[in-house]
Amino acid sequence: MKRTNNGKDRSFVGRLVGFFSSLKLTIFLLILLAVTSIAGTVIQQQAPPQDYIKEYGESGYRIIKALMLNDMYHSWWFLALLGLLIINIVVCSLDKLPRSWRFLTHPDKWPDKSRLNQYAQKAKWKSPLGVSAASTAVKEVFREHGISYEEKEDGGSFRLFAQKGQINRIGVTVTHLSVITIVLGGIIGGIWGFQGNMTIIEGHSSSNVILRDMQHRVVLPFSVRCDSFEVNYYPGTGMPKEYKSVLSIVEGNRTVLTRAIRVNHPLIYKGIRFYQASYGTISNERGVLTLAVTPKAGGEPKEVSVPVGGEVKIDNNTTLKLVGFYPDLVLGENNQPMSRSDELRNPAALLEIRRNGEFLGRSWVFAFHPNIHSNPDIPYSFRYVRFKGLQYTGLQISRDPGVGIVWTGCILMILGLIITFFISHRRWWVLVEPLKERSEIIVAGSTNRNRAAFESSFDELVTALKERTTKGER
Amino acid sequence: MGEAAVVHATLDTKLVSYVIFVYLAAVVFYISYLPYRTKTLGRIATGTLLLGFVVHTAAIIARAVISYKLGWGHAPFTNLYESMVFFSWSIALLYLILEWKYKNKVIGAFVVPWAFLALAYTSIGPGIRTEVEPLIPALQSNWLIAHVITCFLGYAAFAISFGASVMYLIKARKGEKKTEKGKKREKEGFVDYLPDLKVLDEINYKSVIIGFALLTLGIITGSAWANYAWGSYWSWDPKETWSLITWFIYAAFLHARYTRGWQGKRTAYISIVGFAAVIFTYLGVNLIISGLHSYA
Ligand code: HEM
Repeated sequence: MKRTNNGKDRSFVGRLVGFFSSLKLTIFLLILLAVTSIAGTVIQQQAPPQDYIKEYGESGYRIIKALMLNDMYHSWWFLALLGLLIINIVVCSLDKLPRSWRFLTHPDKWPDKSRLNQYAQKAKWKSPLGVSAASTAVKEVFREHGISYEEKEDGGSFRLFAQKGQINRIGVTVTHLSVITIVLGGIIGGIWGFQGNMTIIEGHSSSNVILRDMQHRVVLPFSVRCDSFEVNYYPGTGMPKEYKSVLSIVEGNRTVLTRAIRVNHPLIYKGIRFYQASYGTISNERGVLTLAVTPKAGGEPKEVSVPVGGEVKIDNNTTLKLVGFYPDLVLGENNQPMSRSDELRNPAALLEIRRNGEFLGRSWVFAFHPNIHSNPDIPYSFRYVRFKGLQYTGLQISRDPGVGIVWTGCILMILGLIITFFISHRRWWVLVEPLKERSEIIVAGSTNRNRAAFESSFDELVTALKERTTKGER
Repeated sequence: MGEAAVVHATLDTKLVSYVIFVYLAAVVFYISYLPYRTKTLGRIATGTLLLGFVVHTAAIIARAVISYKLGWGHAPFTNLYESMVFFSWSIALLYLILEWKYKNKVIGAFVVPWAFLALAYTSIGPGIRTEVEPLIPALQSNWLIAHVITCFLGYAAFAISFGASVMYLIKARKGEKKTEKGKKREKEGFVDYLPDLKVLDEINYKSVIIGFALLTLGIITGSAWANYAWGSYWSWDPKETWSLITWFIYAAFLHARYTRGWQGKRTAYISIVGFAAVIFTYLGVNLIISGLHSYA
């Protein structure tokens, strides 16, 4: 590249490279990305038009639409800003890489004496020892400090070079590369991936995925059956602790896989991931209640299950009928019992007991209030155990071929940051020159980060070197 | 939710309410240390903070134990109250390390108030529930624990860089005034006792690199969690986006340091803006905008 005497290339390409490798552009882009990103957190994203019109009026919506603020993170101008940042990184890295590579492949091991004197950390003293004795002592001290070194005989003088943490020089490049990797993974996922959801009623199967935009769908090359769905609640509360679906993958008419999925524990099949996202009740009328029945006269409790509206025998001549079931009992007008929702928030059951066909009485059973409403006409007490309505499971489905690349980028970024921030490239040089019968010793040191810590360790090293090379035999 | 789902006024919340007062005392001591700067006062300030920190740690452990005893067994980092308590704890921890490394207690007056304010907010902030609660399934994830710990330690590091930046600007401004006034000797104010501009800049930088590394980890672990819970590692929800905004700002800070003309005051301003973004990411998004992170 043609360069003028102040080191700047004035040709068009040179200026372009100069522009795209400039740190000012980086700062500008990063701040611009930060500022523009705010808009998308204030204005709702990907909502239907009428939502915007309601909130901002017709003209407001036109402005939002023109600036693409209703889906700004996918707008061309936002992606262009990201693109510029990537170009900025690529050009800058290519511009800087040769220099950092040279640090690795051609370290400045044997600088002139005059250059040695230019390093920030240096020390110089005379030793009563000759060159070979002094250099042996120097090497000993380096070994004791756990610094491995290279040495060189140089026309009667002795030279030593040591370095640590040279990997730091590529830390920034690794970090920048990681940004590119993550963006690449994101692009791949955006182009070849999809996201959507699926609802399946227990016992049914489906292969239709409704995409995020709620308008398109993807048909999977296999179908998914929900064998069962189950919610577990924290004891004594209506708060779900865990919900899980048992899913089977059916190819043709063969079940190839059956697996339970829970929240945070998805199923992956052929690159497609199935996440437990939601659930709901199709019908409580088709549900089954399980009760623990204990004879009041004494005896062991016995579990019985009864469908809503159905009957079950609890002993040889007594039948129990489940007259009504209220998953979320409240009292309506005229104290009519009714259910506020289909969720098991306050389950209550109304039972009717007959002996040899003769009506004995009715009794309420409450899941969360086990000790009330015991009808004295009935020789049994009842405790709620569980209720299972007919439910559906809501699955989130996604396919993202870029996700592996994104994670690779994330790992690279963490490594890159650690190498950049927490490792410093430290170098030491020693020159032992003959001086009459004795020697003169010059030590220099340099670090590219964390100078304060290096300074004190360097001073400590020099003290040890001086002590070792000035005492002892002449 | 049923009544039995919550446990009121547990031991840990009582401990925390004591710690608020201990931290208040520490703030008073650190601020009085600025003009007087006696060794005893400095020792009292550090001792008070340390006492508060020990009790604070005990409170966090107690809360975890309570949750395990209830059979819910989750780390105490899952709602706004718990995260705030942990944020305050992180600031106290990082500040104590900083004070020990730099042997300078002046910085305390600019950092310890944040530990106090964060904790005081738990008892006066609107709608903060202090009860130990069971977790909904989506929050039962080890990624989430890693996410919260890394984010809040990062936020605490940014709080320290914020304190250092404010000190930097005060000192730089006063320095300019002094040179304007020439030789007329002013009465020595606390500004003279602030650390050197160079030291403040270094503290600012070091806390930003620690904060940046932790925030990066925080965003990554958060994405990993989202990926396990919802099948999408990034969905541009307001909280995610604000954490990215914060990340952009501190990335700008790191690069600004390499640009002549941006060093010193301008980087101090970027660091202050960055901390404003941290606070907004943490609280503003919940109070003003709602999103996936409705719990914390
Ligand atoms: C989001 C994008 C970026 C991230 C996360 C990033 C990250 C980093 C980090 C962590 C450092 C080390 C800072 C330090 O040691 O204090 C750094 C340094 C640097 N970055 Fe970036 N960077 C990004 C974009 C860019 C771009 C677009 C350029 C293009 C000019 C660039 C050029 C540089 C340069 C020249 C350095 C100094 C390198 C050195 O130490 O010799 N960065 N970057």
